Amino acid sequence: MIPTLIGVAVVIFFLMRLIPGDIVELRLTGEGGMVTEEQIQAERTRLGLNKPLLEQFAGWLVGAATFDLGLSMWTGNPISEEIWVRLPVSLQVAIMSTLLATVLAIPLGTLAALRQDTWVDYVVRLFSIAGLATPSFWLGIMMILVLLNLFQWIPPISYRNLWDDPLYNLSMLIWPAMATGYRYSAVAMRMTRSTVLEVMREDYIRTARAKGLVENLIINRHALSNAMLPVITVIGIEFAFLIGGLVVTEQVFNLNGIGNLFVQSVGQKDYTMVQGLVLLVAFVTVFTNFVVDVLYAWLDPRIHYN
Amino acid sequence: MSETIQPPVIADNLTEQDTLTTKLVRFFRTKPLGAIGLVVVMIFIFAAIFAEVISPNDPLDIDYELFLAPPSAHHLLGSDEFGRDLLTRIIYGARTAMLVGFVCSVIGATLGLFLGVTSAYFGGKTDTIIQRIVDIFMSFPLIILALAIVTIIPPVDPDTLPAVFSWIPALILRILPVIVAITIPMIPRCARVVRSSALALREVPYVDAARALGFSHTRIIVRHMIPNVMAPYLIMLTAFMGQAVLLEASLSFLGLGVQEPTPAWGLMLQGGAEQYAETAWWIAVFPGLAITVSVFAFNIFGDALRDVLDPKLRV
Repeated sequence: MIPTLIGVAVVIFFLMRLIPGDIVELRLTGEGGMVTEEQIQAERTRLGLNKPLLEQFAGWLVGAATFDLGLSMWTGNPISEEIWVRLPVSLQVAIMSTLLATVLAIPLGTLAALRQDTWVDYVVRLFSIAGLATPSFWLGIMMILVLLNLFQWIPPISYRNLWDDPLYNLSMLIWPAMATGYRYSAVAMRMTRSTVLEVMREDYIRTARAKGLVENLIINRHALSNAMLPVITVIGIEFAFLIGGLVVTEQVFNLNGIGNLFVQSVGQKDYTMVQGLVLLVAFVTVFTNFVVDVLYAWLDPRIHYN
Repeated sequence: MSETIQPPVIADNLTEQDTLTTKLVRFFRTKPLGAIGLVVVMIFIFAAIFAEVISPNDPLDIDYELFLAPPSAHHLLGSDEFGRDLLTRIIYGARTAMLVGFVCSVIGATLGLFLGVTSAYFGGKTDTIIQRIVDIFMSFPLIILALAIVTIIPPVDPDTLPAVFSWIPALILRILPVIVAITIPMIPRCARVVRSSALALREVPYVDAARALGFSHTRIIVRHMIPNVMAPYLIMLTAFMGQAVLLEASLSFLGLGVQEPTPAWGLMLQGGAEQYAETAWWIAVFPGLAITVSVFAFNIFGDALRDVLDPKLRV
C-alpha cells in the first residue's frame, strides 16, 4: 500500500515537472502590468520552486505524510485547504451515487440472472450496456434539458449544506449523483448478473434444491451471500474511480468540488495542485482496496490474511 | 449416403480452414447483437472516411443567417450557435472519434501486449518491477491519468515539424496530445491482462524447446508467446476502442482535449449545449447520441468477440 503511494508520488511529481514554460512567470505576466525579474524570483522563492528538485520532492513527500501538500502555484493558497473546502460536495455526490448504484444493481442483476434469456434479462442487460456507453456529462445535460423544458425547473445553483437545508441540498445533488451513478450501477449490475449465474450452477445449490429447500431461501442464503463477494470488489474499486465521473459531472452541474478543482488546475497548469489531487485519488484507491480486502475476509470465512 | 456418415474429425479440419466469409456468417448467426455492433461501427468508419463526400456542408462553414436553426430540410439536424451545420460536424466528428478510437487502442494494446509478455517471459525481478510500475499506473482512473498527461504535452505545430514527419495527416498532429494522453493509461491495463495469460505459457513444452534450441529471447517472445495470447489481446483491443472514444469525448467536453475548430462530439457539447438548453435542444441531443451509439456499438461487438474468444475473461 505505502510503496504504491510513494511510486505514484514519484511518477506524478517528476511528470508534472515536464510541463513546458514557467508557470509563475505566466501567471504574473498574465495578470497584466509590469512584472520585474525580482518579483518573479520572490514568488518562486515563496513557493519553494528554486530549491533543487530532489529537495523539493523530499519536502513535498514529508509534507504529504502530514496532509500538507504545499501551496497552489496559481492562488498561492495551501492545497490541503483548497481540497478540504471542496471535499464535502464531492464526497456526498460519491456516496449518493454509490447508494443509488448498489440499490439498483444488486436486485436487478440478480433478477436478470434468475430469469436468464427472458425479456427481463434482455432489458437489464441492455440497460447496463447502455450505461457503459452513455457519457455521464451528456446524461447530465439531458437531465437539465428535460427538467428545464418539461418542468421549467433547474436544480439550485448555490450550494447549501446537507445539515442546514436537507431538501434543498438533496434536490441539488441528486442529479449529479444519478448522472455519475448510472455507469457505476451498470458495472455492478453486469458483475452481479454474471456471479449469480455462476453460483447458481454450483453443486451446493443443487444439494440445497435436492434436500427440498424453498427457492427463496436458496437464493438469499446460499446463492446471494456467495455471489456478493466479487460484486463488493467491483463496488469498492468503482467507488475509488468515481472521481473520474465527478470530473465531468461537476462541470455540467457547476458544482465546486474536487473534480472541478482538478479540471481547473489542469487548465491553469497548476502542477503543485494537480500532483496533490492525483496523490489524493491514488490514496483513495489504495485505501478502498484495503477496505475491500478487509471486508472480504470478514464476509468469507475461508479467507485469512496474515 | 457418404455425406451422412462423415466422421467428426474431418468436420473439425474443415472448420479450421473456414474462409473469413463463413466465419463472419457464423458470427452473425450466433451473435446477432455483436453483429449489429459491428455493422454500426462500420457505418461510423464509413462516415469517418468519406466525410467530405457524404456531409451536406463544410464543417467550418458559418451561416450567419442561421444561428441555432432547428432541424429542417436545409440543416437536417439543425445548426449550432455559430450557424454551422450540426450533421456535417457530427460526420466530421466521427473522423476524429474513430481516429482516436483506433490509433489509441491499437498502439495502447500492442505496447501493453509486448510489456505483458516480456514481463511474464522473464519473470523474477523483471516481472516484479514491471508489475509494481503497472500497479502505480492503475491506481487512478483513466481520465485522471489522461488529464495529467494532457497537461504536460504541448500541442504540435505542423509548420515547425521536420519534413520527415510530413506524411502524418494534419488531423493527427492537431489531436496528438489527446492521442498520447489516452494511449498511455491503456498500456498497463492491457499488460496486466496479457501477462496473466502469458504466465501459463512460459512453462509449456514448445517454449521450453525453443529455449533449449538456443533461440533468442526476442524470437521466443515474438514467434512463440505473442501468437498464443492473441485472444486476451484482441479482447482488450476492442474494449479499448469504446473507452477511447468515450475518453476523447470527455476530455474534449472539459475543453482539454480536441480544440476548436476541429469537430469533435465532446467539444460540440461543451459550449452551446447547456447555454441554449431551452431554445436549441438539438445541439445537446445529437452529438451525445453519436457518442453513445458508437460506444454502445463498440461495446456490444467487443462483448460478442469476448464470448467467442475467451468467455471467462473479465474486462
